[in-house]
Amino acid sequence: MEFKGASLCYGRRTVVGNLNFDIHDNDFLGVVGPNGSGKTTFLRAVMGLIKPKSGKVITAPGLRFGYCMQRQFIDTLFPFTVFDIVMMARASVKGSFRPTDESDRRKVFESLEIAGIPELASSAFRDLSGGQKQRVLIARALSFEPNFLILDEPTTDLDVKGEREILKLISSLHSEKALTVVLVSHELNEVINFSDKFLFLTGQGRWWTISKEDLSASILSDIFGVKMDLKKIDGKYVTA
Amino acid sequence: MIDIFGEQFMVTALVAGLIAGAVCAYLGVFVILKRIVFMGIALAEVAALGVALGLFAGLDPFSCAFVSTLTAVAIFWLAQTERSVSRESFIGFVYVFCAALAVILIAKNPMAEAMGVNLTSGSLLYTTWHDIEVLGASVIIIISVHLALFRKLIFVSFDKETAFTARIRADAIDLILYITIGVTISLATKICGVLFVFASLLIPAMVGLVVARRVRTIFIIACSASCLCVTAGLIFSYLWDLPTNPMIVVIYGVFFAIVLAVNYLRKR
Repeated sequence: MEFKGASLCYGRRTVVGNLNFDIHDNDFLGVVGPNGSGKTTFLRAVMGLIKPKSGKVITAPGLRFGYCMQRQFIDTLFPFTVFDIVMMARASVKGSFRPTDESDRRKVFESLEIAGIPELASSAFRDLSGGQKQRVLIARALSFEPNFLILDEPTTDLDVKGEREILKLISSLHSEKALTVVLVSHELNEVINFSDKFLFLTGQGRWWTISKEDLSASILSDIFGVKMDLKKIDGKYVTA
Repeated sequence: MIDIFGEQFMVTALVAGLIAGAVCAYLGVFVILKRIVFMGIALAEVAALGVALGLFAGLDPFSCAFVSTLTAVAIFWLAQTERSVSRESFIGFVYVFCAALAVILIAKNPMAEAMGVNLTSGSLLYTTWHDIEVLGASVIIIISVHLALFRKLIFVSFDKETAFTARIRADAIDLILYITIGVTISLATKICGVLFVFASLLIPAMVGLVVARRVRTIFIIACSASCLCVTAGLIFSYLWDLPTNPMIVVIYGVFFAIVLAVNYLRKR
């Protein structure tokens, strides 16, 4: 996927200006920025839900997106079961008038298995913990049979254990299933150890892209406009 | 009981009430799922305006209700992305404007004035077999469309953004849902009145939500609750000589209160 001079807008406001940037097969891209910096708008452009105001977004043929929206936006008024929610993905695969069959059920359980929650299939989504809900959304994304996984703030409001487990799961999907992953977060520390390249969005249409090898305290300080430290402790990056 | 439904007007009222009530109850689940309850009452008021307009201009009220409601559906659908005013306030504007205009049109037309009260409270007892044929044929088409698209309708109503990413034509599915809601409301309002239609859209689905443990069960419970309340409302209105449609709405309300109370006691 190529962004060629793409300016992305939310309403009349340009949130990412003149973006020149590529996402390659099996990349793990971390998109980091504060609230309102245009992260979700960028995701929408990746998925082709919005067109750039100027410039181009060129997508390779055959891309199939698996999208995990922010789970806080999922309506919990209705008693949808985990199975119901994951099965929704199959609606896009099936045509009208074709009932779901055994292969769809198998695909749903396979996705739940990968997400580590096969035992929750008949539980009500609204009764689950935050981490379990996130796994359900990942399972639904996998049920689309994607080659491009997109996650919007998957670890927001999770405890440290839940956050690590979700990031481990995403990381294993990237390495074992060879999925291209775009992970959006407002927490730099969360994605810094998992992504291999980064897109920093800092508001007012500004952006920086950088690979993991080029990451340094001085570059981060330049990007965020405040003095930042970057340390490697036990093989893991920590920023402060 | 057999005596009550031995009367021809009670039979037509029951058949029309059951069809309109059940289909409104079914669509009401989508209305609540999509959180467009206010749009439901606004469309019912637009349909009422269409009927008033038809009577005022000497046109077929069914057709006028149909056209005006579909126009409103198109406007609401197109206005989804409008950000200068909130969606709720725009729907509120349509509601009060149509209600006021309907009152003016009725006041200026003696024939419409005679039927004016019925636009709000309805007149199931005046239902004709022709009304039922039109309603029945439309409901068959609507149900067929929903059977074909049920999974997509649920997906788009529950999570439109993800449905978009799955290459489902979510806007088109949304439009189909709005059209089926609009058509149902326009036909049902002409026969049953605004009050009955709005109550049937709202209360049976709320009963389903309180009682059901599965989403599909909500639809079944909503339709069953609607049929039960319509039948009970007709019987009580006949026995106590009370206005039929308001009686049905009161039965809906009492039934919902009982369901809530039982559910509360069961959870304690």
